[in-house]
Amino acid sequence: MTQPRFELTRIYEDGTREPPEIVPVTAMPWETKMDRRGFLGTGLAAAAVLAAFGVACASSRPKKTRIKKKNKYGRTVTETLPCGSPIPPGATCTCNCVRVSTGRRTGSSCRCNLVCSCNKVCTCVPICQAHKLLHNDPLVRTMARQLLLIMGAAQFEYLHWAARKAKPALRARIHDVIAAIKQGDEPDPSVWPSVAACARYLGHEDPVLEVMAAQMLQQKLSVQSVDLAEPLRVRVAEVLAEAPKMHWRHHAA
Amino acid sequence: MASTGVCTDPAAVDAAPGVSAEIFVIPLEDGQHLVYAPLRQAAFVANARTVNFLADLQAGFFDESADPDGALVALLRRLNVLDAGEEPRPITTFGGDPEPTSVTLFLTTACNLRCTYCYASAGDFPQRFMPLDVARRGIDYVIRNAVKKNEASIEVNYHGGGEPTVNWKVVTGSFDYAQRKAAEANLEVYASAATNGVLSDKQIDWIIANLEGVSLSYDGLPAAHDTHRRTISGKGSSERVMHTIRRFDEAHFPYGIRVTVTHDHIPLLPDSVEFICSAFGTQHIQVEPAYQMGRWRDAPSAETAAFIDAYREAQRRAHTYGKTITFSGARVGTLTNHFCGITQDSFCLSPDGNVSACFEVFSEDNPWANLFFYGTPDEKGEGYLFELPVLNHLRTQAVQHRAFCQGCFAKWTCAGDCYHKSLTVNQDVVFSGTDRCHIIRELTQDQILENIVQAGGLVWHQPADPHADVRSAGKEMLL
Repeated sequence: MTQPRFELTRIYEDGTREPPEIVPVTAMPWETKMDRRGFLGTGLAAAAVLAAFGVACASSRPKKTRIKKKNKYGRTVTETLPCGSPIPPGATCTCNCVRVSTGRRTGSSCRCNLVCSCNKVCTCVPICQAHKLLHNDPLVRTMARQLLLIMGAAQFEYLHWAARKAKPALRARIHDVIAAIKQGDEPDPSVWPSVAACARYLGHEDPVLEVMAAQMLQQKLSVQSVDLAEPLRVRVAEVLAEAPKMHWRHHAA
Repeated sequence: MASTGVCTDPAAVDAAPGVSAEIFVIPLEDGQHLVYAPLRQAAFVANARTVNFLADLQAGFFDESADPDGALVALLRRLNVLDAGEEPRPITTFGGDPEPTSVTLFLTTACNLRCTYCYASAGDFPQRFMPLDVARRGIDYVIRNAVKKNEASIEVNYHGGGEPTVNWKVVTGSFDYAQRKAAEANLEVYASAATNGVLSDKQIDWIIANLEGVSLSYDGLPAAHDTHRRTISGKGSSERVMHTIRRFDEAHFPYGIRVTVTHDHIPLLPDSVEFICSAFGTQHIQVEPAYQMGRWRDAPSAETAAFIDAYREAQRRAHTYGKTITFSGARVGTLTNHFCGITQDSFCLSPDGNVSACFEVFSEDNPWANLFFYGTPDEKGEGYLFELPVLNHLRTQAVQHRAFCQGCFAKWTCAGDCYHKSLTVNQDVVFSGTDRCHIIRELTQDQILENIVQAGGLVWHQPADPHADVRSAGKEMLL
């Protein structure tokens, strides 16, 4: 039998100079057969992947955003701006980004100071999902449990903190989730609420529910490859961009 | 989130990045590659330029043009693939005389079934039964070791070469003895068993009351099970086994089901797994191709591409029930240099009381007995005399010593697979791979990809728990 050789080596036959890309995996492996076709998505720049993890800064070299705009002579020019720069009036973002409002919403109005932000796959920052496990709406309960399972053992510190803060009944439910994660329970996309059901919580007065809905939608986007309309996709990105401000550690502190 | 473009840790990025992980690259479709750092428990799929960027870094060349914004380096640092210091290797080693606190008793070569694929050919040879005295000596020995090592418990496992419950008096007698003697030494006893599940209600009651868990052989669809797992009189055993499983379920008793797949039953595997998932409560379903040993040594192999496809379909269906099936050699998440107990001084007693390291080498007349039997009862004392050259040879089968495995991405999880099977296939003490290697790599790859999907589709990173117990009992892991 031939000795296996999978060590890291240069791929010499690769003569291309395409930029480095991380390629999304879009299907569970058992949905493919031996030929393993059709389970990879379109490659993303590393910056986009970092943004998915809520990492704002990749390095001391400023991240760049390419925009196209017309100059005073009507000619289209491309400019590169530091990531996070406001998009100039009339300019179009050409990178793998979505436009995000940085303005604070007041009621239904929005000041819409648009900036460019890399498209996220799933931030899933621990906010207060655990404290929604006994919410009176079963859809919220489902979202809470599924998001906690998605975050998994990596967020045990958060879960234990949440349990300590909870009343006995809720504490018991949080401990159930911890036990489920420990025994290997995994998120079950078949029970995830529909896009429409999640979308109803975007704009909810409870910001935690709004973030949970956005996280659920982002999961559906990346795991189930659902098709989200552009306005909805932008709204999800906006909510997720704000989510880190609600990180549980802020409450813990 | 809008980036400020201001780095909070300039020192971290100004230094030339260095590779700090053992990295493997697995080709996928369309020129993409699965990049996997097993000891960092990190993986992602990337294009060739990314792979070359990493390979260049490993060779000491930093291709800054490939990463003008520094994002790739930042991502790789986040995964501990770059600049994360020395990578801890999950290696445990053993030396000197063993001091086991766990004993596995091969209680008999007799069996109440005549399974067509039995690796032990149980029932074909003169029956041997372990006397209670042999079990007692082994139990006394592990208790003494536990006291000496200041441990809190001992383990007693009942295993095969035959069906252990056929020697029922020694099962119960040895367990009672272990309980009594352990209590005198202020120790707990954890006992488990492997069984074919053809048990009386009285036996089931006893097992539920006394054992921590059992591994139970059941092949799924009753028709599939009954084709191969027959009683001495030639009747199918599925009804009896299902009765046992239902009793276990009613009692919420922890058990795992071991499914053996012969070449002719590969197409039935998905239905068999779905049947088990839908009918029974177990969360542990282990699927293995039938071993070409014993009664099945001349049968066609089931270690085929068709098995892998059937396994994947079975996995898909298991997931619809919220369950997962496993295969012994594919276990991403377990970082170890030991596939099973043979490299960890596993202490198993044959019916005659001699010490073997392997569950499959249960008899002194096994063709490879000289490689696995490493001890005999000390006629002048209470313990055992060990042949350290034999034991040390087994210890060198840990994966860090296996030249053949060093370039394999599955090496820290498969840990070299089953030595006895490789001996049987290759007829050589030097490991040179088996058909199981291909299955292990495919299913390991599945688990890595699944982890990526579960983590959001881009990157999997689950830093290993440095306090985790990396020991593994391998293929015959008892619950």
